[in-house]
Amino acid sequence: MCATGPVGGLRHTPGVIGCRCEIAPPTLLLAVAEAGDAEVRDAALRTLLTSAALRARRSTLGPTLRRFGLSPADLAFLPAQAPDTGPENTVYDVAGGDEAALPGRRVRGTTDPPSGDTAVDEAFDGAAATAAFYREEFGRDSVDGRGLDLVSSVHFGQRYDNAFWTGDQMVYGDGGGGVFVAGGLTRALDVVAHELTHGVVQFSAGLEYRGQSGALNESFSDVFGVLVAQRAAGADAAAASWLVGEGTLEPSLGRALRSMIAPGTAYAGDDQPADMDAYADLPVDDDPRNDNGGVHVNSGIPNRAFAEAARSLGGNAWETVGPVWYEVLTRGRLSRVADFEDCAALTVAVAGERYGEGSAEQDAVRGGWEAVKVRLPVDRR
Amino acid sequence: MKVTVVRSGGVAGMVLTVEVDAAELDADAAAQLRGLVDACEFGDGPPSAIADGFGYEVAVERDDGTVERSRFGQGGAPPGAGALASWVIDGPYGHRRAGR
Ligand SMILES: [Zn+2]
Repeated sequence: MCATGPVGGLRHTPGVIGCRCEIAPPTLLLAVAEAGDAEVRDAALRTLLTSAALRARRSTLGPTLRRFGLSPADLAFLPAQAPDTGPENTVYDVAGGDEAALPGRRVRGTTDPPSGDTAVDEAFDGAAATAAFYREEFGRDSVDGRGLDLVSSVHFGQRYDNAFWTGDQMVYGDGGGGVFVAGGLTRALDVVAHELTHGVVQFSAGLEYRGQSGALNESFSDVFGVLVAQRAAGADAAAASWLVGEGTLEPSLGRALRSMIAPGTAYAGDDQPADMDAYADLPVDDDPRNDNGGVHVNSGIPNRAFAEAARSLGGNAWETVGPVWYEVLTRGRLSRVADFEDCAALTVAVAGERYGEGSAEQDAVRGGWEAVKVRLPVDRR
Repeated sequence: MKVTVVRSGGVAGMVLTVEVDAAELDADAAAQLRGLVDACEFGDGPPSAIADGFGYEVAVERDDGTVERSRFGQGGAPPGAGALASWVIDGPYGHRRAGR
Protein backbone atom coordinates (compact mmCIF):
# COMPACT_ATOMS: atom_id res chain seq x y z
CA MET A 1 0.00 0.00 0.00
CA CYS A 2 1.13 3.47 -0.74
CA ALA A 3 0.16 5.63 2.16
CA THR A 4 -1.84 5.37 5.28
CA GLY A 5 -3.36 7.80 7.73
CA PRO A 6 -6.68 9.47 8.18
CA VAL A 7 -8.29 10.93 5.11
CA GLY A 8 -8.70 14.17 7.02
CA GLY A 9 -4.92 14.52 6.88
CA LEU A 10 -4.74 14.40 3.09
CA ARG A 11 -4.21 18.09 2.68
CA HIS A 12 -1.20 18.08 4.97
CA THR A 13 0.58 15.23 3.24
CA PRO A 14 2.73 16.16 0.27
CA GLY A 15 4.62 13.60 -1.74
CA VAL A 16 1.97 11.05 -2.55
CA ILE A 17 1.82 12.01 -6.20
CA GLY A 18 4.37 9.48 -7.42
CA CYS A 19 2.66 6.56 -5.75
CA ARG A 20 3.06 3.36 -7.79
CA CYS A 21 -0.50 2.33 -6.95
CA GLU A 22 -1.73 4.72 -9.64
CA ILE A 23 -1.89 1.81 -12.05
CA ALA A 24 -4.75 0.18 -10.12
CA PRO A 25 -8.06 0.67 -11.96
CA PRO A 26 -10.31 3.28 -10.32
CA THR A 27 -13.25 0.89 -10.09
CA LEU A 28 -11.13 -1.59 -8.15
CA LEU A 29 -9.88 1.15 -5.85
CA LEU A 30 -13.42 2.37 -5.26
CA ALA A 31 -14.48 -1.15 -4.32
CA VAL A 32 -11.49 -1.45 -1.97
CA ALA A 33 -12.22 1.97 -0.47
CA GLU A 34 -15.82 1.03 0.20
CA ALA A 35 -15.18 -2.47 1.53
CA GLY A 36 -11.90 -2.13 3.42
CA ASP A 37 -11.19 -1.27 7.04
CA ALA A 38 -10.27 2.32 7.88
CA GLU A 39 -6.59 2.01 6.99
CA VAL A 40 -7.14 0.20 3.70
CA ARG A 41 -9.96 2.59 2.85
CA ASP A 42 -7.79 5.65 3.44
CA ALA A 43 -4.95 4.32 1.37
CA ALA A 44 -7.18 3.30 -1.53
CA LEU A 45 -9.04 6.60 -1.42
CA ARG A 46 -5.84 8.62 -1.32
CA THR A 47 -4.50 6.75 -4.31
CA LEU A 48 -7.75 7.06 -6.18
CA LEU A 49 -8.03 10.78 -5.64
CA THR A 50 -4.39 11.43 -6.46
CA SER A 51 -4.39 9.48 -9.69
CA ALA A 52 -7.80 10.70 -10.75
CA ALA A 53 -6.74 14.28 -10.10
CA LEU A 54 -3.71 13.85 -12.33
CA ARG A 55 -5.80 12.49 -15.17
CA ALA A 56 -8.81 14.73 -14.81
CA ARG A 57 -9.39 18.26 -13.73
CA ARG A 58 -10.39 18.47 -10.11
CA SER A 59 -13.89 19.74 -10.85
CA THR A 60 -14.86 16.40 -12.33
CA LEU A 61 -14.14 14.72 -9.00
CA GLY A 62 -17.15 16.22 -7.21
CA PRO A 63 -19.32 13.08 -7.18
CA THR A 64 -16.39 10.89 -6.06
CA LEU A 65 -15.48 13.31 -3.29
CA ARG A 66 -19.08 13.60 -2.08
CA ARG A 67 -19.31 9.81 -1.88
CA PHE A 68 -16.69 9.94 0.86
CA GLY A 69 -17.83 13.14 2.52
CA LEU A 70 -14.90 15.16 1.17
CA SER A 71 -14.68 18.50 -0.62
CA PRO A 72 -12.20 19.92 -3.14
CA ALA A 73 -10.42 21.53 -0.17
CA ASP A 74 -9.24 18.05 0.76
CA LEU A 75 -7.22 17.98 -2.47
CA ALA A 76 -5.20 21.05 -1.51
CA PHE A 77 -2.07 18.86 -1.37
CA LEU A 78 -2.17 18.48 -5.17
CA PRO A 79 -0.26 20.89 -7.40
CA ALA A 80 -2.32 23.81 -8.70
CA GLN A 81 -3.61 23.50 -12.21
CA ALA A 82 -1.60 25.18 -14.94
CA PRO A 83 -2.17 28.91 -14.31
CA ASP A 84 -2.04 29.93 -17.96
CA THR A 85 -5.07 27.90 -18.93
CA GLY A 86 -7.44 29.39 -16.32
CA PRO A 87 -10.36 27.48 -14.94
CA GLU A 88 -12.74 25.65 -17.24
CA ASN A 89 -16.28 27.07 -17.17
CA THR A 90 -18.92 24.39 -17.68
CA VAL A 91 -22.70 24.50 -17.34
CA TYR A 92 -24.96 21.48 -16.87
CA ASP A 93 -28.74 21.07 -17.15
CA VAL A 94 -30.10 19.03 -14.22
CA ALA A 95 -33.56 19.15 -15.85
CA GLY A 96 -35.71 19.45 -12.72
CA GLY A 97 -33.72 16.88 -10.77
CA ASP A 98 -32.57 17.22 -7.16
CA GLU A 99 -29.23 16.79 -5.35
CA ALA A 100 -28.89 13.16 -6.43
CA ALA A 101 -29.10 14.17 -10.11
CA LEU A 102 -26.28 16.74 -9.99
CA PRO A 103 -24.52 17.90 -12.04
CA GLY A 104 -26.82 16.75 -14.90
CA ARG A 105 -26.24 16.84 -18.65
CA ARG A 106 -23.32 18.94 -19.92
CA VAL A 107 -24.68 21.69 -22.17
CA ARG A 108 -21.95 24.34 -22.46
CA GLY A 109 -18.18 24.27 -22.08
CA THR A 110 -15.53 27.01 -21.89
CA THR A 111 -15.10 27.56 -25.61
CA ASP A 112 -18.66 26.77 -26.72
CA PRO A 113 -20.94 29.45 -28.18
CA PRO A 114 -24.10 30.49 -26.30
CA SER A 115 -26.52 27.59 -25.93
CA GLY A 116 -29.75 29.51 -26.47
CA ASP A 117 -31.00 28.48 -23.02
CA THR A 118 -31.08 31.76 -21.08
CA ALA A 119 -30.38 30.16 -17.69
CA VAL A 120 -27.42 28.23 -19.08
CA ASP A 121 -25.93 31.30 -20.73
CA GLU A 122 -26.50 33.58 -17.73
CA ALA A 123 -24.92 31.04 -15.37
CA PHE A 124 -21.97 30.77 -17.77
CA ASP A 125 -21.53 34.53 -18.12
CA GLY A 126 -21.96 35.14 -14.38
CA ALA A 127 -19.33 32.57 -13.47
CA ALA A 128 -16.95 34.01 -16.09
CA ALA A 129 -17.48 37.60 -14.86
CA THR A 130 -16.95 36.57 -11.24
CA ALA A 131 -13.76 34.64 -12.01
CA ALA A 132 -12.49 37.58 -14.11
CA PHE A 133 -13.20 39.96 -11.22
CA TYR A 134 -11.16 37.91 -8.74
CA ARG A 135 -8.34 37.34 -11.24
CA GLU A 136 -8.05 40.92 -12.52
CA GLU A 137 -8.63 42.79 -9.26
CA PHE A 138 -6.95 40.51 -6.75
CA GLY A 139 -4.84 38.04 -8.78
CA ARG A 140 -6.95 35.16 -7.45
CA ASP A 141 -7.06 32.07 -9.66
CA SER A 142 -10.72 30.99 -9.44
CA VAL A 143 -12.77 30.21 -6.35
CA ASP A 144 -10.07 28.28 -4.51
CA GLY A 145 -7.14 30.42 -5.66
CA ARG A 146 -5.76 27.32 -7.42
CA GLY A 147 -7.70 27.20 -10.65
CA LEU A 148 -10.71 25.17 -9.53
CA ASP A 149 -12.94 24.63 -12.54
CA LEU A 150 -16.25 26.49 -12.50
CA VAL A 151 -19.20 24.10 -12.63
CA SER A 152 -22.80 25.32 -12.67
CA SER A 153 -26.04 23.37 -12.88
CA VAL A 154 -29.28 25.08 -13.89
CA HIS A 155 -32.97 24.06 -13.83
CA PHE A 156 -32.63 22.49 -10.37
CA GLY A 157 -35.92 21.20 -8.91
CA GLN A 158 -39.37 22.47 -9.80
CA ARG A 159 -39.86 26.26 -9.70
CA TYR A 160 -37.11 26.16 -7.11
CA ASP A 161 -36.62 29.49 -5.34
CA ASN A 162 -32.95 29.22 -4.50
CA ALA A 163 -29.38 29.26 -5.76
CA PHE A 164 -26.54 27.73 -3.78
CA TRP A 165 -22.90 26.63 -3.72
CA THR A 166 -22.65 22.96 -2.74
CA GLY A 167 -19.01 23.06 -1.73
CA ASP A 168 -17.79 22.24 -5.21
CA GLN A 169 -20.30 23.68 -7.69
CA MET A 170 -23.05 26.27 -8.30
CA VAL A 171 -26.72 25.26 -8.47
CA TYR A 172 -29.61 27.41 -9.69
CA GLY A 173 -33.35 26.87 -9.45
CA ASP A 174 -35.65 28.45 -12.02
CA GLY A 175 -37.50 30.63 -9.48
CA GLY A 176 -41.19 31.25 -10.03
CA GLY A 177 -42.18 29.47 -6.80
CA GLY A 178 -43.69 32.57 -5.21
CA VAL A 179 -40.55 34.31 -3.91
CA PHE A 180 -38.30 34.84 -6.95
CA VAL A 181 -39.50 35.88 -10.39
CA ALA A 182 -38.95 33.15 -12.99
CA GLY A 183 -35.37 33.36 -14.25
CA GLY A 184 -34.38 35.87 -11.56
CA LEU A 185 -31.70 33.77 -9.89
CA THR A 186 -29.35 33.53 -12.86
CA ARG A 187 -30.17 36.99 -14.23
CA ALA A 188 -28.74 38.81 -11.21
CA LEU A 189 -24.95 38.94 -11.43
CA ASP A 190 -24.66 39.91 -7.75
CA VAL A 191 -26.59 36.76 -6.76
CA VAL A 192 -24.31 34.59 -8.91
CA ALA A 193 -21.23 36.28 -7.45
CA HIS A 194 -22.66 36.02 -3.91
CA GLU A 195 -22.91 32.25 -4.27
CA LEU A 196 -19.47 31.82 -5.85
CA THR A 197 -18.03 33.97 -3.06
CA HIS A 198 -19.35 31.41 -0.55
CA GLY A 199 -16.83 29.17 -2.33
CA VAL A 200 -14.09 31.78 -1.91
CA VAL A 201 -14.90 32.04 1.80
CA GLN A 202 -14.85 28.24 2.10
CA PHE A 203 -11.34 28.12 0.64
CA SER A 204 -10.00 31.12 2.58
CA ALA A 205 -11.16 32.19 6.06
CA GLY A 206 -13.67 29.30 6.25
CA LEU A 207 -15.99 31.35 8.47
CA GLU A 208 -18.30 29.02 10.41
CA TYR A 209 -21.90 29.39 9.27
CA ARG A 210 -23.53 30.35 12.56
CA GLY A 211 -23.79 33.40 14.77
CA GLN A 212 -21.51 36.36 14.01
CA SER A 213 -18.95 34.34 12.02
CA GLY A 214 -21.85 33.14 9.87
CA ALA A 215 -23.15 36.68 9.46
CA LEU A 216 -19.64 37.70 8.34
CA ASN A 217 -19.67 34.78 5.87
CA GLU A 218 -22.94 36.10 4.47
CA SER A 219 -21.64 39.67 4.46
CA PHE A 220 -18.43 38.86 2.53
CA SER A 221 -20.66 37.15 -0.07
CA ASP A 222 -22.87 40.23 -0.32
CA VAL A 223 -19.87 42.60 -0.44
CA PHE A 224 -18.08 40.81 -3.27
CA GLY A 225 -21.41 39.96 -4.94
CA VAL A 226 -22.26 43.64 -5.33
CA LEU A 227 -18.66 44.59 -6.18
CA VAL A 228 -18.66 42.16 -9.11
CA ALA A 229 -21.93 43.73 -10.32
CA GLN A 230 -20.77 47.33 -9.69
CA ARG A 231 -17.57 46.73 -11.67
CA ALA A 232 -19.48 45.11 -14.53
CA ALA A 233 -21.87 48.09 -14.60
CA GLY A 234 -19.13 50.68 -14.14
CA ALA A 235 -21.01 52.01 -11.10
CA ASP A 236 -18.95 53.90 -8.51
CA ALA A 237 -19.84 53.98 -4.81
CA ALA A 238 -22.07 57.03 -5.22
CA ALA A 239 -23.97 55.69 -8.23
CA ALA A 240 -24.41 52.15 -6.88
CA SER A 241 -27.77 51.17 -5.39
CA TRP A 242 -26.12 48.95 -2.72
CA LEU A 243 -29.04 46.56 -3.20
CA VAL A 244 -28.44 42.81 -3.41
CA GLY A 245 -30.56 40.95 -5.96
CA GLU A 246 -32.48 43.99 -7.17
CA GLY A 247 -35.48 42.96 -9.26
CA THR A 248 -35.19 39.26 -8.47
CA LEU A 249 -38.12 39.08 -6.01
CA GLU A 250 -41.78 38.92 -6.91
CA PRO A 251 -42.66 42.63 -7.05
CA SER A 252 -45.40 42.18 -4.44
CA LEU A 253 -42.70 41.15 -1.92
CA GLY A 254 -40.24 43.97 -2.54
CA ARG A 255 -37.49 45.39 -4.68
CA ALA A 256 -34.43 43.43 -3.52
CA LEU A 257 -33.12 40.75 -1.12
CA ARG A 258 -31.06 43.13 0.97
CA SER A 259 -30.01 46.75 1.16
CA MET A 260 -26.41 47.19 2.25
CA ILE A 261 -26.67 50.93 2.82
CA ALA A 262 -30.11 50.81 4.54
CA PRO A 263 -30.50 47.30 6.00
CA GLY A 264 -34.11 46.37 6.77
CA THR A 265 -35.64 48.28 3.86
CA ALA A 266 -35.31 45.87 0.92
CA TYR A 267 -38.70 44.10 1.17
CA ALA A 268 -41.79 43.98 3.36
CA GLY A 269 -40.71 41.91 6.35
CA ASP A 270 -36.98 42.61 5.89
CA ASP A 271 -35.75 42.52 9.51
CA GLN A 272 -32.05 43.19 9.04
CA PRO A 273 -30.66 45.50 11.74
CA ALA A 274 -28.80 48.62 10.62
CA ASP A 275 -26.53 48.74 13.68
CA MET A 276 -25.59 46.88 16.88
CA ASP A 277 -28.38 48.54 18.87
CA ALA A 278 -30.84 46.46 16.82
CA TYR A 279 -28.68 43.29 16.76
CA ALA A 280 -30.89 40.18 16.57
CA ASP A 281 -29.66 37.81 19.28
CA LEU A 282 -31.10 34.64 17.76
CA PRO A 283 -30.12 31.23 19.16
CA VAL A 284 -28.02 28.78 17.15
CA ASP A 285 -30.36 25.79 17.06
CA ASP A 286 -32.34 23.61 14.65
CA ASP A 287 -35.35 25.96 14.48
CA PRO A 288 -35.27 27.23 10.90
CA ARG A 289 -36.75 30.56 12.03
CA ASN A 290 -33.50 31.29 13.83
CA ASP A 291 -31.35 31.06 10.68
CA ASN A 292 -28.29 29.54 12.40
CA GLY A 293 -28.22 32.45 14.81
CA GLY A 294 -29.29 35.07 12.30
CA VAL A 295 -26.63 34.68 9.60
CA HIS A 296 -28.85 36.39 6.97
CA VAL A 297 -30.17 38.87 9.55
CA ASN A 298 -27.18 40.38 11.30
CA SER A 299 -25.13 40.41 8.08
CA GLY A 300 -26.83 43.78 7.59
CA ILE A 301 -24.43 45.27 10.17
CA PRO A 302 -21.08 44.48 8.48
CA ASN A 303 -22.75 45.06 5.09
CA ARG A 304 -23.56 48.62 6.08
CA ALA A 305 -20.11 49.21 7.58
CA PHE A 306 -18.63 48.37 4.17
CA ALA A 307 -21.13 50.46 2.20
CA GLU A 308 -20.71 53.49 4.49
CA ALA A 309 -16.91 53.29 4.22
CA ALA A 310 -17.06 52.96 0.42
CA ARG A 311 -19.53 55.82 0.07
CA SER A 312 -17.59 58.20 2.26
CA LEU A 313 -14.44 57.57 0.23
CA GLY A 314 -16.09 57.74 -3.18
CA GLY A 315 -14.64 56.22 -6.33
CA ASN A 316 -14.89 52.58 -7.28
CA ALA A 317 -15.56 50.50 -4.17
CA TRP A 318 -13.79 47.47 -5.68
CA GLU A 319 -10.60 49.58 -5.84
CA THR A 320 -10.86 51.37 -2.48
CA VAL A 321 -12.34 49.37 0.41
CA GLY A 322 -12.82 46.14 -1.59
CA PRO A 323 -9.10 45.25 -1.51
CA VAL A 324 -9.03 45.78 2.27
CA TRP A 325 -11.94 43.37 2.79
CA TYR A 326 -10.35 40.89 0.34
CA GLU A 327 -7.06 40.95 2.21
CA VAL A 328 -8.79 40.42 5.55
CA LEU A 329 -10.76 37.48 4.13
CA THR A 330 -7.88 35.70 2.42
CA ARG A 331 -4.59 36.37 4.23
CA GLY A 332 -5.03 34.05 7.16
CA ARG A 333 -5.62 36.60 9.93
CA LEU A 334 -9.41 36.23 10.19
CA SER A 335 -10.32 33.18 12.27
CA ARG A 336 -13.08 30.71 11.42
CA VAL A 337 -15.03 31.90 14.44
CA ALA A 338 -14.30 35.63 14.10
CA ASP A 339 -16.94 38.04 15.38
CA PHE A 340 -17.79 41.55 14.16
CA GLU A 341 -15.24 43.21 16.47
CA ASP A 342 -12.46 40.90 15.22
CA CYS A 343 -13.34 41.72 11.62
CA ALA A 344 -13.61 45.44 12.32
CA ALA A 345 -10.21 45.55 14.03
CA LEU A 346 -8.58 43.67 11.14
CA THR A 347 -10.08 45.89 8.44
CA VAL A 348 -8.85 49.01 10.26
CA ALA A 349 -5.39 47.45 10.67
CA VAL A 350 -5.18 46.33 7.03
CA ALA A 351 -6.40 49.72 5.78
CA GLY A 352 -3.58 51.29 7.80
CA GLU A 353 -0.98 48.89 6.42
CA ARG A 354 -2.22 49.35 2.88
CA TYR A 355 -2.92 53.09 2.74
CA GLY A 356 -1.06 54.41 5.81
CA GLU A 357 -2.01 54.98 9.44
CA GLY A 358 -4.39 57.92 9.59
CA SER A 359 -5.06 57.78 5.83
CA ALA A 360 -8.44 58.80 4.44
CA GLU A 361 -9.05 55.14 3.63
CA GLN A 362 -8.38 54.00 7.18
CA ASP A 363 -10.59 56.79 8.56
CA ALA A 364 -13.37 55.73 6.20
CA VAL A 365 -13.15 52.11 7.33
CA ARG A 366 -13.16 53.21 10.95
CA GLY A 367 -16.16 55.46 10.24
CA GLY A 368 -18.05 52.59 8.64
CA TRP A 369 -17.79 50.46 11.77
CA GLU A 370 -18.57 53.44 13.99
CA ALA A 371 -21.76 54.06 11.99
CA VAL A 372 -22.99 50.56 12.82
CA LYS A 373 -21.79 50.84 16.46
CA VAL A 374 -19.33 47.95 16.37
CA ARG A 375 -16.68 48.59 19.01
CA LEU A 376 -13.18 49.25 17.64
CA PRO A 377 -9.76 49.13 19.29
CA VAL A 378 -8.82 52.54 20.71
CA ASP A 379 -7.43 54.93 18.11
CA ARG A 380 -4.08 55.89 19.61
CA ARG A 381 -3.43 58.89 17.38
CA MET B 1 -55.85 18.63 10.51
CA LYS B 2 -53.51 21.52 9.84
CA VAL B 3 -50.08 21.24 8.22
CA THR B 4 -47.63 24.12 8.63
CA VAL B 5 -44.31 24.31 6.81
CA VAL B 6 -41.64 26.86 7.69
CA ARG B 7 -38.83 27.35 5.19
CA SER B 8 -35.92 29.66 5.98
CA GLY B 9 -32.50 30.58 4.63
CA GLY B 10 -31.67 30.28 0.99
CA VAL B 11 -29.89 33.15 -0.71
CA ALA B 12 -32.89 35.34 0.12
CA GLY B 13 -32.61 34.55 3.83
CA MET B 14 -36.37 34.90 4.03
CA VAL B 15 -38.64 32.99 6.42
CA LEU B 16 -41.71 31.66 4.62
CA THR B 17 -44.57 30.03 6.54
CA VAL B 18 -47.27 28.18 4.63
CA GLU B 19 -50.30 26.63 6.36
CA VAL B 20 -52.81 24.21 4.86
CA ASP B 21 -56.05 23.38 6.68
CA ALA B 22 -57.53 20.04 5.54
CA ALA B 23 -61.01 21.34 6.42
CA GLU B 24 -60.71 23.92 3.63
CA LEU B 25 -59.74 21.40 0.93
CA ASP B 26 -61.90 19.55 -1.57
CA ALA B 27 -62.10 15.76 -1.11
CA ASP B 28 -59.32 14.93 -3.61
CA ALA B 29 -56.85 17.41 -2.16
CA ALA B 30 -57.69 16.36 1.40
CA ALA B 31 -57.05 12.73 0.48
CA GLN B 32 -53.72 13.67 -1.13
CA LEU B 33 -52.71 15.56 2.00
CA ARG B 34 -53.69 12.68 4.29
CA GLY B 35 -51.70 10.27 2.11
CA LEU B 36 -48.62 12.46 2.30
CA VAL B 37 -48.95 12.90 6.06
CA ASP B 38 -49.38 9.13 6.54
CA ALA B 39 -46.20 8.52 4.49
CA CYS B 40 -44.18 11.08 6.44
CA GLU B 41 -41.64 10.01 9.06
CA PHE B 42 -41.51 12.72 11.68
CA GLY B 43 -37.92 12.45 12.84
CA ASP B 44 -35.44 15.28 12.39
CA GLY B 45 -33.00 15.20 9.49
CA PRO B 46 -29.52 16.70 9.31
CA PRO B 47 -29.27 20.50 8.99
CA SER B 48 -28.08 21.87 5.67
CA ALA B 49 -24.32 21.63 5.40
CA ILE B 50 -24.12 24.32 2.73
CA ALA B 51 -24.31 28.09 2.86
CA ASP B 52 -27.71 29.31 1.65
CA GLY B 53 -29.29 25.87 1.90
CA PHE B 54 -32.92 25.95 3.02
CA GLY B 55 -33.94 24.93 6.56
CA TYR B 56 -37.38 23.35 7.08
CA GLU B 57 -39.88 22.63 9.81
CA VAL B 58 -42.97 20.53 9.02
CA ALA B 59 -45.65 20.41 11.74
CA VAL B 60 -48.91 18.45 11.61
CA GLU B 61 -51.65 19.27 14.09
CA ARG B 62 -54.32 16.53 14.20
CA ASP B 63 -57.92 17.23 15.02
CA ASP B 64 -57.38 15.70 18.49
CA GLY B 65 -54.74 18.36 19.17
CA THR B 66 -51.65 16.15 18.92
CA VAL B 67 -48.72 17.66 17.03
CA GLU B 68 -45.96 15.87 15.13
CA ARG B 69 -42.95 17.77 13.89
CA SER B 70 -39.91 17.32 11.68
CA ARG B 71 -36.96 19.68 11.19
CA PHE B 72 -34.32 19.18 8.51
CA GLY B 73 -32.02 20.98 6.10
CA GLN B 74 -32.16 21.12 2.32
CA GLY B 75 -31.39 17.68 0.91
CA GLY B 76 -31.75 16.03 4.35
CA ALA B 77 -35.49 15.37 4.60
CA PRO B 78 -36.61 12.19 6.43
CA PRO B 79 -38.69 9.84 4.22
CA GLY B 80 -41.90 11.52 3.12
CA ALA B 81 -41.17 14.87 4.77
CA GLY B 82 -39.74 16.47 1.62
CA ALA B 83 -42.75 15.48 -0.49
CA LEU B 84 -45.14 16.82 2.13
CA ALA B 85 -43.21 20.11 2.43
CA SER B 86 -43.19 20.58 -1.36
CA TRP B 87 -46.92 19.86 -1.65
CA VAL B 88 -47.69 22.48 0.98
CA ILE B 89 -45.23 25.15 -0.19
CA ASP B 90 -45.59 24.76 -3.96
CA GLY B 91 -49.26 23.82 -4.17
CA PRO B 92 -52.20 26.20 -4.48
CA TYR B 93 -53.83 25.45 -1.12
CA GLY B 94 -51.62 27.19 1.40
CA HIS B 95 -51.92 30.44 3.31
CA ARG B 96 -48.51 32.09 2.87
CA ARG B 97 -46.80 34.51 5.18
CA ALA B 98 -43.29 36.03 4.90
CA GLY B 99 -41.44 36.95 8.08
CA ARG B 100 -39.98 35.37 11.20
ZN1 LIG C 1 -25.37 33.43 1.16
